[in-house]
Amino acid sequence: MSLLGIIWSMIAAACGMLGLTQAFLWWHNRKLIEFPISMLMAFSAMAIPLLEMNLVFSADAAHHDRLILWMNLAVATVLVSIVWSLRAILPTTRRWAAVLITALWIVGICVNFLLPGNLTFSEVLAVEPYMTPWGEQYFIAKGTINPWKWTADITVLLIPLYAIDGAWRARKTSSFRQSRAIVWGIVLFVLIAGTQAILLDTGHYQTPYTISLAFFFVILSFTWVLAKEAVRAGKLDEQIARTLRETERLMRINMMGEVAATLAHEINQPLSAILGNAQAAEKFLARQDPDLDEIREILADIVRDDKRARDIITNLRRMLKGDSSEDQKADLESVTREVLAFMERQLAQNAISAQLHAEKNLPRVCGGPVAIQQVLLNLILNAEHAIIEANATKRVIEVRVSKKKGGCEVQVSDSGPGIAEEIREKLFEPFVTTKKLSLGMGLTVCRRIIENQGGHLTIENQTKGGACFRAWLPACTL
Amino acid sequence: MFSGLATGVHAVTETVFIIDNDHSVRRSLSRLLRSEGIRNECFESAQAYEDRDLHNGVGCVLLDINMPGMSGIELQARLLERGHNLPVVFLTGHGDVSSSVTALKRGALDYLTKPVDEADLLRAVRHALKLHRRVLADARVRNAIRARIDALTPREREVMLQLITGMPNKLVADRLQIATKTAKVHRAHVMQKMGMRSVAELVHACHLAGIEPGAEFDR
Repeated sequence: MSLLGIIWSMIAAACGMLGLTQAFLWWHNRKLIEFPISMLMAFSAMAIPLLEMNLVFSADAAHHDRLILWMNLAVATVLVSIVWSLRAILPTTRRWAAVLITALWIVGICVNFLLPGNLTFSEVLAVEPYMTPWGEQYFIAKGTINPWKWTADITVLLIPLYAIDGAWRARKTSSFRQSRAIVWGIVLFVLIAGTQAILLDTGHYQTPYTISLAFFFVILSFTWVLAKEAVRAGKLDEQIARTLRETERLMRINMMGEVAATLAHEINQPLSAILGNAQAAEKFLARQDPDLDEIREILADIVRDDKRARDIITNLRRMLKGDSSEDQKADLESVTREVLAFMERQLAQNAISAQLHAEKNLPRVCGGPVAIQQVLLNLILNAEHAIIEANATKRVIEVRVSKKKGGCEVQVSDSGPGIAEEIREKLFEPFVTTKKLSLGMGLTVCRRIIENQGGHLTIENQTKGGACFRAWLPACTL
Repeated sequence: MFSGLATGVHAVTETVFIIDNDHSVRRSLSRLLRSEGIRNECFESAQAYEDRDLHNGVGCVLLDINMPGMSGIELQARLLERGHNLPVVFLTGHGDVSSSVTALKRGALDYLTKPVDEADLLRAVRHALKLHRRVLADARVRNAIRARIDALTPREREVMLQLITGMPNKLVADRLQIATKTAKVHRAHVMQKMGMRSVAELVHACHLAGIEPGAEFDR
């Protein structure tokens, strides 16, 4: 195989590889538009060396005409992709310039396909043979230059200007540092390739077409920058995910602290009663003629209080069970009931009544029961604090569980003062809080937990006053 | 010491008032006190106790801090406003440090952490009752002395005020611009009506009644 053939094949293969790389990056980050555009760029650029290869080995003028036709389309696609891809990476580039370059190429492509000949030559007159320094024969077409060719030529000047201008305007921002490799690549290689093409086409200078080689470097620079970005973003995502996981764990510990305080208070009561009763019994028994009826009563009381303590523990255990299990679907109603049962006494202590309204036959929802409990516990504690802090006269927390849009929604509304509009949406951001002694992470973690299950958590103020949190979770189809 | 002044208060009227919202806790505390022969009454809320007539015998209050509705601390404040002088012993759960401090600052006698050991409970209750017994006894003595002072004539009262500064009759007479003889008569009446045998006793009695040497009588 000839050296030219090897070079072009390799460039085509490399462009294809870069295209696949872009496709891969796009697959993993479908939100970024620069990936599909760069992918299109790389695949179009792959066509160029293949066309060039056919071109230089063909002595047929009609064949040259047809190949140049398609080559122009490929070049147009690559250049327009470069323009828009750069714009996605470097937003300081001028939109009108991108539009202008695109428009020029649209005109050029129309001329290319609709008028006789192609955009380069309106008529290919001859194909002349040349020799490479190492003695390989190649052919170059000669013909009448198309009067519309300037539309393409001018873009070769415009693109580096467009890139330099965009980079200059972004010179102090991070997007410049990220994209300067691309900008230099575009400037150098578009200039080199463009000059070469112009010189060749006007017949001043003879080499085989190597526009593809220049494009290859531009595409390489795009892939390099985008891949670097993707890796960095991936690392950042991982870091954020790790931090959030850690926060979630800390919040759970914090919540467990609250749960433990409630639990300690709850269990303290029966424990005090049992201790008092047992010591009283000892005293009664130490008497000359112990009153056995009294002792019997005391024992019955001790048994009752012991059962009460056991029920508290059972409640807690039921609430926490599944902590280690892989259960990923939950009965929202029973989860809610358990949390309310656990909170009941504490709420009663603060003279707050909790009302649960649940629809019948609710579908199971996605999400681990423990995670959902954590969210509910958090929301109910928030509601409780809101009422206590405002010292509200009406002290009610309403919890509603209902079917909604292919899932279930649980609403927690309180009779507190509601939430000031200006911080209402910000409330879910980290470190935003209305409470004096709060880190402001509770709701951030709650929203994350719910969104991890494909649901959403929102807050609104009720017209009758008080805040209302809505957590929606999709029905579990498993 | 003072003939007929110190009167014993009947132990029968000694009552501990247990205020706790938890039925079981109330029952067990009541039983424990009963097993030691201490009379007690139970209330399920601060409100219920506040609605009761003020107790006028010896007593003390065992008050749970953490209650729905009116808390123990609130009840304490309201009772103080009403001039309630029963000693208050608070019962708290673990970790109620700040409210315990508030309670003590407002004059609570003691606070006990639940679950309370019988020995601690009885010690605190007995101490509170003893304290109140003394407070009441002192009040009785004071009232008795005041009643006797009330029985004095204005002139006799003036003479008494001079006497408790330790002045001899002659000086008293000079101060009040009366004859020494007259002063002596007044002095004899004061000592008799007050039931005192010596000036020292009189000084002490006046001190108990809140009258110090050099004071002015305004009644």
